[in-house]
Amino acid sequence: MEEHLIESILIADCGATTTRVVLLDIVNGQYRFVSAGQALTTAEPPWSDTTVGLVRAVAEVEAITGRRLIGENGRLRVPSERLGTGIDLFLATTSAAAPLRTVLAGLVEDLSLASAQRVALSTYTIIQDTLSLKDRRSDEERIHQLVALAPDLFLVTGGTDGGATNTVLQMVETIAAAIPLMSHRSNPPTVVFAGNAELRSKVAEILNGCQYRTAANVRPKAEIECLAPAQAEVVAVLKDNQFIDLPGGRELSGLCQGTLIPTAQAFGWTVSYLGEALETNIVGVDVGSASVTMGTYVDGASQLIVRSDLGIGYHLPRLLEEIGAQQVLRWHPADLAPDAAADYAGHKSLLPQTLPMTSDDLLMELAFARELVHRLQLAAFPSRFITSGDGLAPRIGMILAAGAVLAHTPRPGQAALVLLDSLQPIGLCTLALDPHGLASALGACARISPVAAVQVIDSGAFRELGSVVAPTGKANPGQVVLQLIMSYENGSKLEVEVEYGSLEVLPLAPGQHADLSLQPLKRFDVGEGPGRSCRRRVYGGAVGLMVDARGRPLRLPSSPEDRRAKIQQWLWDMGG
Amino acid sequence: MSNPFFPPQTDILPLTTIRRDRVMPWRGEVLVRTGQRLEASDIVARAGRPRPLVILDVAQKLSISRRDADQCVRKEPGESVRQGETLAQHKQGLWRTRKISAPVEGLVIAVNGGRIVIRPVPELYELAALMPGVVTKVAAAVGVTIETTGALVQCAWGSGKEGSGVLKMGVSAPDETMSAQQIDLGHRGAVLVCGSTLDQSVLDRAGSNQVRGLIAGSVPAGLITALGRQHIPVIVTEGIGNIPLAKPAFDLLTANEGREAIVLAQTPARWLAVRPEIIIPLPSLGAPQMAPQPGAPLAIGNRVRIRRDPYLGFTGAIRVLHDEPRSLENGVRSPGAEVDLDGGGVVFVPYLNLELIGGERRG
Repeated sequence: MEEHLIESILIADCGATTTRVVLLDIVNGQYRFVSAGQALTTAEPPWSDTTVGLVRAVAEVEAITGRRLIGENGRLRVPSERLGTGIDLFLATTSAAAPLRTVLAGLVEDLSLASAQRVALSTYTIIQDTLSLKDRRSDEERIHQLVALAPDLFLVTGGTDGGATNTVLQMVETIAAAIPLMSHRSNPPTVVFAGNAELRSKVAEILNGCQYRTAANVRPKAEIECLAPAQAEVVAVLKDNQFIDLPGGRELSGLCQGTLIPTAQAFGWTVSYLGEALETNIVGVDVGSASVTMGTYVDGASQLIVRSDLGIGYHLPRLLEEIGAQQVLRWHPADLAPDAAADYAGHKSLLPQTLPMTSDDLLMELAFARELVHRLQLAAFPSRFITSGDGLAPRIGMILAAGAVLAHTPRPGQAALVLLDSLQPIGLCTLALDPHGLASALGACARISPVAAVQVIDSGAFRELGSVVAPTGKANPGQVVLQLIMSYENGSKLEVEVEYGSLEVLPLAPGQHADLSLQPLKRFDVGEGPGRSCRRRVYGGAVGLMVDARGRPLRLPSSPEDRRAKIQQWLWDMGG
Repeated sequence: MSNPFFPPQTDILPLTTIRRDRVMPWRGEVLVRTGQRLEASDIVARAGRPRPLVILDVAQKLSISRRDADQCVRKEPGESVRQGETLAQHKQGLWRTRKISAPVEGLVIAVNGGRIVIRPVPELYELAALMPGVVTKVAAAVGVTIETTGALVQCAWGSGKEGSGVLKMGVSAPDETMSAQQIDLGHRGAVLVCGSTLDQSVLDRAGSNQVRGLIAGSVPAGLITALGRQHIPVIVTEGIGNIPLAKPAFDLLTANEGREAIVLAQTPARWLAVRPEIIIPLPSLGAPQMAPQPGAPLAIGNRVRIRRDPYLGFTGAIRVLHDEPRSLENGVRSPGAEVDLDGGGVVFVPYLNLELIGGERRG
């Protein structure tokens, strides 16, 4: 469909627990976000059909707008029939399908296997096992293990182009021996080969009769990494298998212009677009019920990290297995036993759609959210950004948070504090939320109608929380480390001496802007180098201007009583 | 209601028609026919439980190349082998011949790349009906559908096992808990309702006294791994933590004390159309209604259960529906309903935290 013929666009995101739809339309000559609706996802029994939940979510948009979007036959009216009836374009993303259970094969852990891992983690996969040079299992043990795992995907890397051959071929032979023995699988697994390009014909020979795809070598040379072609092949396997197996997935796909898109990919496209458009480094996090996603755009390079084994709903017990209850409870202001976190995680995993009704439960959920985001950050940013065992993002200009747990906190300061605690930005950045689930929707939209995506983003698709000033350096608590002067549009000024260890919010309402003058002391750094002053224009938001002088990496008091008091104090400081 | 909400549903039914699939994990042979009346102990199907494949690396064992190894193998895929039978042999020098014998009886399924793969003769797996009733459908080689009448309690979580026994109440109120010392030989063969939660000592004591099943309101998360290793099926009506049994479930179990109870303690999984449940077969006078199908929108008068604190496990009836979001104590805003609690009082609960109690509709 030609872009100029498209007026109304309906975009659905079929998530693991919630299906959201957003309606975009032309208002006064510009695309605008018009309305949103949601319903529980119906991929699981007893409905086992995602389109049931889709129709319910669309019905909410119908109820809000009065526009008839569903026909007499219960199906979407695409294309639009007359003014106010139907839609011109329907697109859909999903994170509801089962992830690809994946076995990685590579030679060296720091090279090909690391690249294979980055490819796998760029979409909905769960890494079950790895085959590498360090693998000391016998061939027989490996085959037994592979047969028992019966993965959906083998991602084989290894060898630079023209490099290693025998070891790579041996791994392929092991896989080829295991696949015919997986008779308990309903469909055969797929092998994606993205290793030494010169081995392709031999690999094809060994894998004769298997489902087999090739991609450009992820490591054509030791010092060069090329992930995109292999990532595209893995996404293609996801679409061809898991999306079709998603109950109602075939019908949902049939309704779409183009194909059903993985939500994470669409989210990543929006993050990259924002980074390019704003010419800034950007981090986007999407905390879902069954998966969490981090999209980054740093120094012109895009990256996507998806953990399909973590989430704020189904997989909370998995997070506790990975990090332990104390890591979560350290963010809670109440004195709780470790069992409290485990029981909360277990119960929430059975009822992922439910909402916290007490303050303690809300704070517990936000404590889990901090650790989920932090796990993503550790995966997304390589070790050069990590100091003292804690995660520090590179200097980023914007953080965008999606997912109901962050985007729908009762008070905006609560979401802002989760982002500050988990991502620990340094220097100057802005925080924004995605309350309507537009980030992934607009990523999907941009592929068909980039103008619509651009205009909706420009019209204020996201909720600005405000700007953050986070000086870094070393000082004693209470020492003044930054002199800040904020000059408002009306000519008034606010002068603040920022003490080390403090967290403050200065008033700057949505729609307002102010000019900041920052003079760091004691060789503190606000992004321009130690001790260097700067002037910046900042924009207001739902929270205001946040001055986070708690230090980087953020250290919590070691005494439990002091830590709980500090956590409570920060909540109050942020209006949470 | 301009924007209907379709809640999840849990059935707690004193008498209903129950149809359940009894399906084997592996393909095999169904031993009963449609229309056949069954006792709980009847075997309805059997199959071979696969044992781990045996992979013999001929090339490595004979110290020869993989290509040469394939030439030495004397068996073809599809051929049966007896334990000790020669699978491959290779002459080394003038006098010496090295042989590889089958370590197990089974079927050769692959000879490739210098390896022989044998599928050992499987163990016999038999699937019992577990509940008395009539076979209404046979799925060839897979299993059967059995129809019975009785009480049904759908639950929140199960430890992954199944079993049956005489239902015994170990507590007299839904929020009580049973101590290990209260379990004795008098509970042998019983399915025991042990209260709002249980611990390792209760589990151990139940095991040593040959209890056939445990029913609780909840289990602590820390016990879940241990429960998975236990042979006793454990089923919980509410969730994880320490949560009293919902009163309708407790009352229904109390009313059926002394009857045979079947505990199907399947562990819930996202993609499986199974729920953990307790079935108490009862004779039917006439034709009791089927459990109501889920999918109806929430309506005034519906019986509901609340799934989150501070009203976790409370039951009541829908009084008013609020499509416009309202604020909770913690500031969370959500559409929801005012619920008339059974114990008295009216509370506002987000729609998402409500579950319809199937079979208890009013209005």
